Amino acid sequence: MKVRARLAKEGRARFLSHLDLQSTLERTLRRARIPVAYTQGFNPHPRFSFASALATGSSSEGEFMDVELQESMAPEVFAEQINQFFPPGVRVLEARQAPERGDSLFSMIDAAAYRISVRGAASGLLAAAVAAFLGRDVVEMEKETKRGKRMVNMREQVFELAAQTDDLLHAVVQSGPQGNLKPDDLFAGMQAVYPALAGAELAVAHRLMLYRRDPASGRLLPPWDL
Amino acid sequence: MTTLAERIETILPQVSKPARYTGGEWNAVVKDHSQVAIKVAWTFPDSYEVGLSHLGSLIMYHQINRRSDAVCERAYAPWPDMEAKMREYQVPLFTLETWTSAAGFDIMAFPLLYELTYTNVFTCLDLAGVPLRSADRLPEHPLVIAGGPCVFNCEPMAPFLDVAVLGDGEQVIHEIIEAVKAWKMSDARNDRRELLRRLSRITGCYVPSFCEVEYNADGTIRRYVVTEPGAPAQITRATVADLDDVDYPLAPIVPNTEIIFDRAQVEVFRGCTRGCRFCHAGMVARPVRERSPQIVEHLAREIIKNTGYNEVSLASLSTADWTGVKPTVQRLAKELQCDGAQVTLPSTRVDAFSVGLAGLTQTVRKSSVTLAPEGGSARIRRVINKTVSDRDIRDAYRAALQAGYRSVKLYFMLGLPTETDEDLAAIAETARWGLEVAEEVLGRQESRQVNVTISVSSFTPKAHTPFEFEPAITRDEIIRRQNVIKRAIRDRRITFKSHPSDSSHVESLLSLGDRRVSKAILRAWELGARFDGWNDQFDHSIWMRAVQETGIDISWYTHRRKGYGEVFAWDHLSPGISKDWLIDNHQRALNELEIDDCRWENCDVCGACMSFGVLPVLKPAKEGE
Repeated sequence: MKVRARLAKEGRARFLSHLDLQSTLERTLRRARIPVAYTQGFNPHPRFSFASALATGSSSEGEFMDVELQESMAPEVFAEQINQFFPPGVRVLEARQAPERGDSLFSMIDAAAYRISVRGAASGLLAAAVAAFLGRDVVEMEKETKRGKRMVNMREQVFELAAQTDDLLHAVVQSGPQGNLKPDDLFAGMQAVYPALAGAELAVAHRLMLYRRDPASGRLLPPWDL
Repeated sequence: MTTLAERIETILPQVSKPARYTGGEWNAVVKDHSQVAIKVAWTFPDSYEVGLSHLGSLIMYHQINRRSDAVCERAYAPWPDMEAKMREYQVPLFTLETWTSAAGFDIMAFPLLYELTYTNVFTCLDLAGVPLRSADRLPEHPLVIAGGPCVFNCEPMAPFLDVAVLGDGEQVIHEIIEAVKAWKMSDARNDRRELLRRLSRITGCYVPSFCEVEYNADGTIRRYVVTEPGAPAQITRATVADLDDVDYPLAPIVPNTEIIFDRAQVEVFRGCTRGCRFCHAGMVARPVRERSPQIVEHLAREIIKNTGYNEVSLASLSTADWTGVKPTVQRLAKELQCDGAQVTLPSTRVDAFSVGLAGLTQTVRKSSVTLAPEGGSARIRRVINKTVSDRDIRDAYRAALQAGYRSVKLYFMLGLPTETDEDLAAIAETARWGLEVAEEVLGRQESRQVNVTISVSSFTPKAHTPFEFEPAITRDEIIRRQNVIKRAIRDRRITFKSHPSDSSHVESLLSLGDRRVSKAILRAWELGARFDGWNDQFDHSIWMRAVQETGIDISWYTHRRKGYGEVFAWDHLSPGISKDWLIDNHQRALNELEIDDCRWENCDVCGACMSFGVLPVLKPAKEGE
């Protein structure tokens, strides 16, 4: 069976790279004696996959992973058991049974929600920058791809943007195989549109959730609402 | 002012590999500092990836933390990008567990495993705000101690160390902690010298400031003079007589990020009496003391369970020599296989038995096997007492090829005493045998896939070995000898790899140096030397400038043949073996005479057992369990 879990990566654990998180998970599964399925071959690896890689330094309460098990196990038991063996800062917030077939977790993701804390912005500045950004139809950004540099309109990748306080942004942006907007790039884009923001800097980006877009309704849904 | 934690969080996103500095690993020990009497900052003078791979540090971390009255936290030398940011943001050297400034600890303990980490010791002390020189430290500063193989000649670092601890750390660390604790609670707590005096009475503890060096007109050492009444003139090593008597970490720290030795390690024995004459480790940790196979198995099982590692390495200086090796490896390999875990051996001795043993542990794809004949000809191997015959080498090739390996790596040294160009050419010939045996075993067609890599490092004479009297060869001569080997290679399937000669030049100076060399090390650090053991960081020109400015003649220290009567900087730091034995052993080397291994053959009276009142400890496995 397959378990789909939502993870948090917080505190100092936010400095783990995606690769670090993967090896940490591998060892945690072993310590917790979770009956995880392994790949065949000379160098067996546990079968698990993440929905998306989070930038090193970002915290999250919206990481998703699928873990394939050799024997069935209640998702709540899985969560309780594995949580006793994670290093500080990493834990499973919720686990549910995942469909055996269907799209991979990675391929179904369309968007991510972030809470972005900002350092050094004067009162009202963030709200003004948000208004200026949302007022544009086009905010261009140079993006490096394997085939060289190309221009991307990041405005199209921003689904929601709001200044919650003078130093906190809430953003829902494109994420996943169709396109990805990093919080750092979004903030740089805001600074380009609204130069008065140049003195401020992004302190921490915190991922709140990942979403897939329901093709029928166009609404954003959590990865387990299929 | 922001808090230390806030400043660390600010700089971490700006540096490479921030997980090196975050702590929070599984099995890391976090204690309430208000509940302990003694705080130790275990400061590894190299990167996190190297430091956390060091088994000795894991053992000591456990030894200290199992005490309820003490805590041990770790610090590592920050990578240069991190060092720059720490200075910019006024972040002191901090421990990983609680992000506490190292300056607030009672003891800063530096494991010195190789000389090229010395400059990083300065980085750590300086970032901690601790004066570099022992003489400049005040009662409120941490006690700066060092251990590890390098302290058997710590004279080049003498002015910077309060205490050097010689030998096995597991028991002596408790004596040190007790002494520091008693001093801290006594009326003498503002008298740092009194603390040093108390520590100097502990076997294994050397206080460099309690002796002075007198020199002869020719620059050699006349004598060491003890300046503190009651301090010993000769320092002996701390020795654990039986490894089964000391606690071993059952739950070692599991890194969150990739490190060099990313696996569980169980030490199966300490010491080695093979008697390779170039080998420092084999001389300073005598005699052999084995751990019981039953205990090793228990440790392996528990550590796998407590860490989630899928590999356990049976560590020692030569694990194929461990009495219990075969049945234990067989049993453990079979048992751990059910958990998807495997047993590995860190090194392979050059013979069929060892290669076969390595085969027992292989569950992953067979790639290459590494053998270290060290010397190319049988003659030079007799000189260095590497008791491997030509036949052993051919047998090892055969066993490796039959076990499915298609790639063999060979380790050699050049610049060995008495070495001739014929000995060097024999290195290429030894590699060629691999191809010859391959044709025999696999046939002409398949043998074409076989490749042999020759990896050659340059010999540097080490203190306390029979070769301490020998000169190292010059840089130009190293290059000439490398070319002799290269010219002798006539098959494309043989690859030649050599090690940089510049850093071994400096390494020689640091391992054979005396107190005067300390100025050059400090100067090199001031000029920017950092992480000298890393090829991409090492800067030879810095060191050349440092020795020039401080008037140190590297050649005099490293390229000079020394007389048997010369007083060496390390003569008063005893690993237990006698000078007479070293001289006799050196003479036998020149006469191409081998020495037996006292584990199995006659005692050669090196002196270690008599010094410590111990004997070699062998512990066979019980069959049929």
